[in-house]
Amino acid sequence: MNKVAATIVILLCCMATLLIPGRFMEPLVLVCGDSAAGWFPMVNLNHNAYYNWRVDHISRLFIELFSPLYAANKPLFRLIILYVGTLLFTRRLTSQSSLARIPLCLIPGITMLAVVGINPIVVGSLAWMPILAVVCSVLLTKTNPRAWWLLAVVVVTEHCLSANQASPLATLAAYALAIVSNQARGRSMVSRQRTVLVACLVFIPMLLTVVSTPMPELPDYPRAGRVVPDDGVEGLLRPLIGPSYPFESIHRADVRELYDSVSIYVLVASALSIFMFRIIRSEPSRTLAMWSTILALGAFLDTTLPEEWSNIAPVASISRLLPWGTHYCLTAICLGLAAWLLGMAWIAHSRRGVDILISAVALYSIVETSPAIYHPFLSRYATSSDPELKKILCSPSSAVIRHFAYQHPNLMEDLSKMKHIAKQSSVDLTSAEATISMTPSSKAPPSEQYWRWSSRRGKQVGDEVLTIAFHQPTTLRGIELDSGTYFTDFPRGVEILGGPCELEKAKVLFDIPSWQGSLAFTPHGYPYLSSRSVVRATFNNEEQVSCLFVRQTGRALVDWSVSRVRAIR
Amino acid sequence: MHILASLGLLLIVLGLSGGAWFFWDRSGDAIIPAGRYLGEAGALLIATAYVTTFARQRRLLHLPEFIDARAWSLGLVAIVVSDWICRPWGLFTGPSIRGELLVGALTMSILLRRGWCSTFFSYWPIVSAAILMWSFWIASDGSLLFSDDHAMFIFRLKLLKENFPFIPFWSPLWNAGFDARDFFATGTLNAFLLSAPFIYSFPVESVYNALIATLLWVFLPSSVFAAGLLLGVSRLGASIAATLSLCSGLFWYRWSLKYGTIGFIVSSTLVPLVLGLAIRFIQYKRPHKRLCISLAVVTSLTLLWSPSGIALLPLAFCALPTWRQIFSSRRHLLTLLLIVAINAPWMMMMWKVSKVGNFLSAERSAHTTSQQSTPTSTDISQGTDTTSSNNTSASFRHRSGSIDPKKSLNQWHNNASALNPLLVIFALPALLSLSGLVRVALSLLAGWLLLLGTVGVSLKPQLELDRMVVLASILLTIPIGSFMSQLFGNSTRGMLWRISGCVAGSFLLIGPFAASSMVLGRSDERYRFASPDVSALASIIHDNAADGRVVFTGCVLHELSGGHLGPLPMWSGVPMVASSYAHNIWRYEQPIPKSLLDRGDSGIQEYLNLQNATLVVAHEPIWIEYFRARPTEYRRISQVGDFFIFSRVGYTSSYALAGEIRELATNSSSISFIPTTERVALKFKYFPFLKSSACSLEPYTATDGLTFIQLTNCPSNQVVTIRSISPVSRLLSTSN
Repeated sequence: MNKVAATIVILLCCMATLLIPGRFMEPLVLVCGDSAAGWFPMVNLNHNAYYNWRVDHISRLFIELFSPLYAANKPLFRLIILYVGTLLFTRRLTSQSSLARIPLCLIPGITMLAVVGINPIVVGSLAWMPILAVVCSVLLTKTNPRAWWLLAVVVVTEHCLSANQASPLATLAAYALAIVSNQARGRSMVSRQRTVLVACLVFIPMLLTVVSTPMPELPDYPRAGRVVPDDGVEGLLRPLIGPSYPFESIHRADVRELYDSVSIYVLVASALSIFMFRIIRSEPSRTLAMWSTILALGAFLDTTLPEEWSNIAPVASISRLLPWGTHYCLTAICLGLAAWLLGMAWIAHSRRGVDILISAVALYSIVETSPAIYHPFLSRYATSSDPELKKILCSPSSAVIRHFAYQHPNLMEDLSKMKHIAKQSSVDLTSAEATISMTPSSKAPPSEQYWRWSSRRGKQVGDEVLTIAFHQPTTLRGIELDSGTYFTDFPRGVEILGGPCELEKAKVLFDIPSWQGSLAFTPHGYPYLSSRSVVRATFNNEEQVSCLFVRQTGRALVDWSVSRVRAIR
Repeated sequence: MHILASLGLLLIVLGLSGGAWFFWDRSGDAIIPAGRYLGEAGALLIATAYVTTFARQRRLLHLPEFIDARAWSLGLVAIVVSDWICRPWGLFTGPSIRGELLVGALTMSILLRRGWCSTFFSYWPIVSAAILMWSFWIASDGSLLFSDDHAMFIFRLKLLKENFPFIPFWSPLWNAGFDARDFFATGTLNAFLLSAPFIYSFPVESVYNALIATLLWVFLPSSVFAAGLLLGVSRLGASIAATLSLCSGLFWYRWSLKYGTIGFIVSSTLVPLVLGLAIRFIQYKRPHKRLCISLAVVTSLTLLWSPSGIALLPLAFCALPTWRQIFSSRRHLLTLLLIVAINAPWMMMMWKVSKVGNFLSAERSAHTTSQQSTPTSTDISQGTDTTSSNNTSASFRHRSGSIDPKKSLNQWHNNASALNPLLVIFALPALLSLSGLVRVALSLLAGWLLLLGTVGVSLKPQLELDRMVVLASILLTIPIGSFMSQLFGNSTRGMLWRISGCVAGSFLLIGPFAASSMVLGRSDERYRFASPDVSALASIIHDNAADGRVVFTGCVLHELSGGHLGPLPMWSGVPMVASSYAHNIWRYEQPIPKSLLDRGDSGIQEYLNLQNATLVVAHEPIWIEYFRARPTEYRRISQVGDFFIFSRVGYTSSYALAGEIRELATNSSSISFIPTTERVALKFKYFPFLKSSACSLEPYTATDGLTFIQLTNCPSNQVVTIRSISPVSRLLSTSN
């Protein structure tokens, strides 16, 4: 009776997956280009991962056959492959072939989707992994595998074509799963030579995939241009291996926001599962739950520790050690894999009593999918037919749009106006026009190499004010402050007040609590964050002011200094 | 007492290597203000260990008690948690690298627990080399390695391909003719001989990157691995040593990829093998023929970079105790004779043509590079001196000076920061853990090289002995490999041993990745590949030179894509003139002699006429301004990067200064032409070792500082060739 109930519940889950596509099919990822023509760039609107991607042959065939029903970026076929793989792997792991397994095997995939959503890189990297694990498991233990070798070549090829840049992690996971399943069933390896042969068969295509992956085309950003805000941590974070962009593309703060709570859920669930499987003495399930816990712990450390520490936590470190590892979000893959392993651990030890429980959990997951898996601001424009908007969204610049959306909610609509403002020239303010002073300190002595106004405290406290008193009321569109050769002396936060020459009566014209650089555009129209050493503050409207008060509102261990003040009129 | 004595020695090493120590990074106050505090604490610990041992067991401390790997591994922990890892110019550049090291330690714990260490590290050098080669391939993006002297080595290899074995020779490609003799001093010959099959089969430019990659990531680990086996280290130890050689330090890659000192690189690659073979050679009463031949060949290749002779001196001391055995064995004697027979001719030649004696005593007149006041275009036109400082003596990269312990210690600090921490921490216990002749030889060699690299730098700045530390680091990989294999083997003895193994192993696992980040140009040290500017410049020169020469005004060193101008004449097919086409000057120098420059416009015109310059290239603002201001004399053709190319208006190319010639043809080592007058003065520099096929050859002073070739008694309408006399004749001649 329990089994029947479980089956019904799970079938409901399947129907929900297919019938409520709005839940999962939000434009998490934007496909830029023709997905049927090999490599195409993709951008993940959640955290700004920008990478080249492609679809394996069989999936592409499926897409072509069923294109009227499914759009190219909906990895339905790869989900089916994942399901089939889960089914085969469960059988290999537990040797149970009961019909009840067929609906139960949906659980790992659903758990994965519930945690990370339909993220093509997660689905693509894990789709062929269970089948590969089964094939490896057979090849490592079967004395005369014959046809399995041929099958292995096909599976490995499809796996590598599906996982693309993420294939190192997915392949390692498949190989580890093969060993786990063999150990669980007490199967021994045929020989050392066979192990080496299988490892070569699996890992050489993986290496070839990694080496042959092309870099996506980048917009013409200038040398100091950035697309995501600085994390404030000292030192360069560069991958140690493989190609990399000259700038950071993944928005770390968004990754943390997206996955911090879900990683806690998966971690707690996995840890509890270890405890549960230990009590009920289910060794394979305990092993799988343990690996799930390790992965979830990695994701947890990556998303919850302060940035300085999460940079040296395992996920961030591994992403720098893997080729292409900084191009995609490894945290998502870790969490997806952890969720899948957790689901596997549950179904690997199925008791009638717990069937209902796990089915209910799965159903709950599908209904209560992480609410942050899509970004409402950008998804508004993702389906736009405007080629200019599409061009920007299909580039690492989408993060810049999100960053400035805080200041300009209609930025996408006012793009041409913003471009015009960004290009507007500025002129030096002369002493004939205005008197400039800084509190608590004043102009640095003229003996210094460059004339500049500086707080001269060796740190930024948040109470520094640069006062620009115009000799007569003047109309301004904005103001530009340049720290010159002291390029680290930029303000960490800026608030500009203007109007009469009394601070209390002046109105706020510009307020950025964390200064990350101004909005600039490349010659081809891609927005980027310009150098932070030049504060280019553009007001929403032209303002007539007698005085401007530039208040430094951040904190840092360096001075705030200004060597040039320019007016945008 | 093992731990106490080892800890004491470790503290002394850390004190000597680190200076002030900060916790985590340099943001707070130093926890240890100066290295001497650590040294004193270390000495105190050793004294305590001595006293306690003597009091309890009535004996002195034994050597093994100083090499407890658990204690020495704490040094690595200290490096990770201190500011050391965040210091600039380090191989492991922090602070984020701590994460990778942590991942490495976790991986090591699995490997040690499962007993997979031996298998894993057997393949790890191969995987590491593959990673580094891939990184190099990515970094190059199909461009030719061009940084600094790489450009010159490409040029030298191309010259050798066309002229070997007839070296040295005269080449008309640069500065109206130059003595192409630096193959000996720079060690180009060893790279050339090693790669000869490829160089003769393919264009040098096509195989150069592959040659460098092979040297760095195939030859070096193979040599270290083979040397390890020859010295009796286990396979695991040799594999670890091979891996370590790929990530010995940042300065190895500085010298190999940035500076491009290929002769030094080849010799450094072969030195471990020389050591391994030499130790066997000394130990065996009757060495095998293969051993003898290998030793002769490898030693000769190594010695082709001449300072390696100084580096290998301690090996001669190691052979002293067995000199009777060596001199009574025919095979020993024949091998030594063979080495002498191979190397004596080129050494004598080098001594003669390169004026080695003068070079070795040049530091007496050396001074450091001084910043000159920048000349203006008005200075040029008015004839104000813009050539160089009046002091014409040589100067070098390092300051000349006497023995200064403080300076030497600073030199060591800089080197220690750039080395793989495994080499700094484990060098001493690893050497002490060896036995017999291997210990003596390696200790002597390492000590000697470190002494040269720290103390010798200022004594002989012209030899750039700081690279001897790099050589020492490569040699030390062998004992450290052996030491680490023992450490991994001991991991079953307890938790502390396993943790030590994990800590040490993490540096070994992450080392190749750290080296990869350098190769990818993501560390403090950057090197350059040829930009499209190089081929563009060559192409524009080729199209516009019109049978004349190209003169590069001002001082050119690394302005063209980070490398020297050397190979440009071969790529453009046009001879050139520049203050220096190689890195042999260390201060501002103009190609135009002072006497002519003093005369202003007329002097410059005269110089350009004397050089038969049809094109002038300027990269300094003053010269660009100068040529731009005279549109009737110089027409701007194009701009490539910082280089502005001008053609001379109204000048007709001619290489004859007096008399007449026709059908002049040049190649890399000779010129040929048909004189139409009996006496001809050519715009080619005169050298006493030149010969003419048909005329009498004598010097012709064109102006102060420029002596050209004059030919007399020339038969009319007969092809005359000018080239260098044969190397043998040059060796035997009384003049140079």
